Amino acid sequence: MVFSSLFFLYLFLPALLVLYYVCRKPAFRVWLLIGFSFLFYAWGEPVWVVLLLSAALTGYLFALGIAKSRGTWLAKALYIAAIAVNIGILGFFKYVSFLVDNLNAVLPFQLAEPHIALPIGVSFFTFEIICYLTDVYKGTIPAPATPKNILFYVSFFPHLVAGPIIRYRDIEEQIEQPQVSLASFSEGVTRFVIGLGKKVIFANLLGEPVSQLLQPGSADATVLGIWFGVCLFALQIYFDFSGYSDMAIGIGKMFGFELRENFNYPYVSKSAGDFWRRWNMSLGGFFRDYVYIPLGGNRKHMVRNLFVVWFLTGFWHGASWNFIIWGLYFGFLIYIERQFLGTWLDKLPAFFAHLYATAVMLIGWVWFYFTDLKSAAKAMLTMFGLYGREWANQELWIYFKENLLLFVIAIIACTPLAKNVLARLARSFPQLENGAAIIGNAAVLAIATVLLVGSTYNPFLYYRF
Amino acid sequence: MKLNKKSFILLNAVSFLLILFGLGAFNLLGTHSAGLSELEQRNLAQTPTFTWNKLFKGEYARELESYFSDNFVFRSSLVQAGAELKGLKGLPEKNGVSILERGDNTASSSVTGSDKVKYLIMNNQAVTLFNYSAEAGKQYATAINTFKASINANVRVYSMLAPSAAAFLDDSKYRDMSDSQKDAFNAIYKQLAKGVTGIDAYSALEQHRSEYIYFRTDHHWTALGAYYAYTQLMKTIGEKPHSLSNYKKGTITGFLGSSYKATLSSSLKSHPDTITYYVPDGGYTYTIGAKKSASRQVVDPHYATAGNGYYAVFLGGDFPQGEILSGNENGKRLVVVKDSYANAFIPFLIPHFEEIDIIDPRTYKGNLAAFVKNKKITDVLFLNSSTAARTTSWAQLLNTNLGMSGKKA
Repeated sequence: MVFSSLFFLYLFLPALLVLYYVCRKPAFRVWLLIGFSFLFYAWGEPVWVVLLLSAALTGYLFALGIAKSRGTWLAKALYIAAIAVNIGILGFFKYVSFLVDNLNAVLPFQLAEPHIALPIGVSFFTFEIICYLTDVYKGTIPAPATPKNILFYVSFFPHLVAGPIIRYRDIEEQIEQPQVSLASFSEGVTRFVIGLGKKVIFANLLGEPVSQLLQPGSADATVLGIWFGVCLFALQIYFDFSGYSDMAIGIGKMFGFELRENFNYPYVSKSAGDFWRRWNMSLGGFFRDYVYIPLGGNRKHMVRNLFVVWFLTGFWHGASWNFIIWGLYFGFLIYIERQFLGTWLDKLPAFFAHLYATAVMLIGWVWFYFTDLKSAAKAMLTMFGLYGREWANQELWIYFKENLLLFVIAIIACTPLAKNVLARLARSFPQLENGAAIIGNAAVLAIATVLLVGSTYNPFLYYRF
Repeated sequence: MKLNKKSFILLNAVSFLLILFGLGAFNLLGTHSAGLSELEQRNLAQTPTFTWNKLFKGEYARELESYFSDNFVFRSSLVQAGAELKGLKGLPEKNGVSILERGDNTASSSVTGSDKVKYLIMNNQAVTLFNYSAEAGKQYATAINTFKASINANVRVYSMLAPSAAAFLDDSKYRDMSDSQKDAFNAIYKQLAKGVTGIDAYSALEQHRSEYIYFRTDHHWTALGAYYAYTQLMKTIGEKPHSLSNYKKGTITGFLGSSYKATLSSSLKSHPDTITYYVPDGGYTYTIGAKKSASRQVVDPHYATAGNGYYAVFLGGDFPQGEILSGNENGKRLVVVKDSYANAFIPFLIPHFEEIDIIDPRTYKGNLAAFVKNKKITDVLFLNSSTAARTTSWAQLLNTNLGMSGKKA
């Protein structure tokens, strides 16, 4: 199930809210959320519930063992085994097909295609279990979790399928006593509605011209068309992903849970490093705390550590070479920024740093968008006028005009500008502030609903004849 | 009205919950008589039947979810409102131009990149953009040539490619967004073997380009457009076309066709088409299907509202197979291998043939050469829209469903 669906909005969420607020016992509430979380997860692919459940339970058992044998070799052995199990799960479901494809390309004989489907959320919950086990092993979590707590930590549906990647420490106390209050509920409502609007109004509408402008291998591609398409895609993926995180955080608040923030206006960055401190922060934080620093961080083998972390960051996004290139590209930029580029950029007016960051990020998105390397390379060449394409054509001009308003508003909305303007308006018209916010939230929910119903329109036509 | 912090918190939560629970309750309580969605020409999802097997495969959840969204309260009004809202994303201008891409989602199709169609909407008119595929043209010509070689040499074979409205737009900047259909068709006609005659409907239509020969909200030509194409066929086979004034004429207003249904464009909605139809003299019988149905009219305004859409005025819509017996005993028996462009065209042929068989390769399965032999066919006409020059899927239909590649169907 996804948050931005009619079924979730008008059946799942209301039903859960009623049951949750009818009963006031914290333990019941937590079990209710666990139950609904498994229902949420089981919705599309019920069989994977078994995977989620066994991942959580092995995590629980390993943690018990590690805590019991703390300080001995056994703890270390158990910890290594536990990490291996989780990496194994992730590797098996996500990367085996990729490995076989690549081996088949170089081996003299052919391995059979494995045909493994990717269970949703596996990239997130395995990482969360790794966080938990590492913290237990290092002693940052003094006592291992109860089965109830670990189930809740791993399965809580707002963050289950697309993050943010939370830490057990963050929510341990909250599980015992969810911080339910009207104020936090109301905040959650606003946050959820903002996220819904980002996803349904911005991301979905931006996605239509993107798929038309960035068609792999299209003969109609133009220089400016690719640039425009990539700009739209950058906006689309930001609104999609950050909208999802906003909805997750908002739903968490409605039930009295605080989840960590995941985005902080990534497109106002001044460097590649800055971008990654603002984009998918919970993932960046994971790689920093559980990979980069344990490897030695900046102190020893920095180049190797950067390489490992950025290779993994790219590879985590998908089992395909383009994501690896995308990750290493950022790793390289961050390395040269640390060596010298950062100090250069600091000396220039801020405008140039923004320009640099925006350009490298857009070029990065080209490698993220095209999963096939040939198409990515063609698009790159086209963008720099090296592929013999026209600058623009009539079709591009039509796309530009018919999306212009959305494009401009989206650019403003992805910076703190919109927020600042609203805050200033609120100061100038204090008597209207709160009323306008309520009407605004209701309007966004209504518009999103209308667009969601609209997206179910599916005419049965012979378009071609 | 000044709201203090406390009442803001309360009202914000309450208004959200009101919408959620209000619409949610409406949905649960509302009487859902799903049935047919006229606009979408499909049956809306029904209450799914439960089986454990479906539950474990996740199918039950998916069906339940599509049932829920297909039968959402006020769905059809909200769908229209959604289309209007989407229209606000561009420059606020009158007569805004837009491009919308849609895929063929019918059961018999496998949507690939080239099977998608781009609708260009300007001046209250929608056209589908045309991209020539030389490979598609080659396969189409080869299929017809192979077929011609496999039948009695005395059977006359014709190919008529019907251009789409994109070719005749007044404004060259929009016209040039498509490849030239004239060049594409000529390239295909040139590849036809000796004994297969290409019929240049394009030129006939071009001479009348300023007339109402194409619908604006539908991808088909009008009966008038089909008539001009018919005169070109008559010229080629050396017969005199019947004059339009001999027909009883009627009109149906308020026609919103396939392009509107695909795009829900508000500029199309506010400028519906008018269908003008020409009723041929009676005295013929028209039956559909292999087992003979009761005789029907080839042009009948009643079909407009009978569920298949207004264009069904002509031949009653698309069927796998049809047969018209005209009562003229001139010994000429024609089979038309066609797509829906032929529907408005075929009624004009009645005075010229003793028998007209209609075969739609999208849904008919059977060997065409055998059909020609068994039915003692004298003339074969392939009448196709520009789709045949745009994607190889049309040639593939001819080969697989009609056995035209020479292999058994």
